[in-house]
Amino acid sequence: MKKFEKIIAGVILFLSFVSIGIMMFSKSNAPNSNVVIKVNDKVVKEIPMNNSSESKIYDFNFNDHIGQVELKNSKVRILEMSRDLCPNGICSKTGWIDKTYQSIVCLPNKITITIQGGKEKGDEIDVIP
Amino acid sequence: MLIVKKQTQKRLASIVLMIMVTGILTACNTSTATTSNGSNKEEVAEADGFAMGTVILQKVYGANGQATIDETMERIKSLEALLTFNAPEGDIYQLNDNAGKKNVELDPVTLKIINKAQEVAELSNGAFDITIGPIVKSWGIGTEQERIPPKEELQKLLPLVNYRDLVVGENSAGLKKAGQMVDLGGIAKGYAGDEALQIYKKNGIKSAFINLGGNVVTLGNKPDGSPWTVGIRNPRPQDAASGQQIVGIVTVADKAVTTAGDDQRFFEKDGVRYHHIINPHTGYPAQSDLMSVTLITDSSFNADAFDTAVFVLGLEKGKELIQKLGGIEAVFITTDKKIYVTDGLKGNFKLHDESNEYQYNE
Repeated sequence: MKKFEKIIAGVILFLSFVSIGIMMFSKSNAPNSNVVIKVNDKVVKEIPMNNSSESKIYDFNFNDHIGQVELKNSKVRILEMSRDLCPNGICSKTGWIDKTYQSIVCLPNKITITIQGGKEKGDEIDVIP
Repeated sequence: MLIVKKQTQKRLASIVLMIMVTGILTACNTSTATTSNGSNKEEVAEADGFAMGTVILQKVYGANGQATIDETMERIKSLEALLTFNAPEGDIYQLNDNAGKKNVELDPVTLKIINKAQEVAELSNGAFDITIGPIVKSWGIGTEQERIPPKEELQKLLPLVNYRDLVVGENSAGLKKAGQMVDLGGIAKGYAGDEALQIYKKNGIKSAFINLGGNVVTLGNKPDGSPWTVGIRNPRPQDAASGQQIVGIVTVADKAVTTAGDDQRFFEKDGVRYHHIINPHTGYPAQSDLMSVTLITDSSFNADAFDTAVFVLGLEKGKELIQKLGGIEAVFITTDKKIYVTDGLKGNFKLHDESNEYQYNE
């Protein structure tokens, strides 16, 4: 190859590696995560995570009732329900979760709330017994 | 400058060719980079089920993942019907209903579980005792009826707790005294975990895990060949309103990991915690020096059967029992926030404590 072509080839290769690098870097600042609400293992609502400090509250249906979740600062929690709906309040006492291995569970109503996607480095736990 | 020399044309052509080739290579690279972390692009099925009084999480890799999950959940539900003391057609209900009256014919699975429970009772000097039923019912922890039973009531019920009064034959078993009750809560999920594993293997699954309310069973490694990362829960998250926090991590493949702790089911009254692991000798929640113990072993059945006993026995006697049994590793978390692990875990367990309140001395 002539020298001119070698230089061009070199520049193109360099630029392509740079662009791979940029794409990989921005992949790790992952796409937004989702809050997934399931009732009896069926997804009833999926909400994009709220990364702002402004609180957002969403309703969801379960067994002809309405529950509420609050999303704020990349965390989610379920709001307290009446005693007759939720006798022990374990789900609301769980508080805020923000990791994919955490979950909020309301056993009597078969509600589970988890976070999916948007895994960060170091957040690689598969399961907690 | 439309008229270009032939030589320049060749150069241009080769430049364009190079751009195209690198473009193709770049595109391939980035699409690999953006594949999900299951780099084999294997199908994965996940589900939350509810059975045995808890939530059951399954994650199964493979084309028949969903079918396998469904089959497993069905099996767990039929085990529940057999083993819970609530279902009138179930074995345990019948056994309890006939306490002090007669022996009852039992399913081979029920007998297998009862026999294992009795074995653990013997080995632990009664620290695990499935005849704990009347006391568990009296406290009602985790139900709407949870309360602190009056002392006189517990004193009346305590004589009913005695695994030696449970007589087990080849096809049947019986409780000697009226009012005695068997409760398999401390062992049934562990047994179910082993059955789940069998179903996975039968279906040709190579990579999966199930979490039955604190009993985790892992099959193989993850599709990318790395072991499963299992978190050890912080039994006292500093910010009580903050989900499940961890204090450490272990990595496992083809192992069962079970945690028994005073933070799983409890209520607090006047600043005192009343948790669900009752000491069969006292009738009160076990006051050992442990907040939790995590067992790691091949069989989920064993892990569940022994973790209650180890919790009740406490650190020293619990360690002795484990060493006597062999094939079991453990992570202990004591009430003064110290973490101890058995020798086999020393290279594996990693402290991962955001609260910075726990001490781990290797």
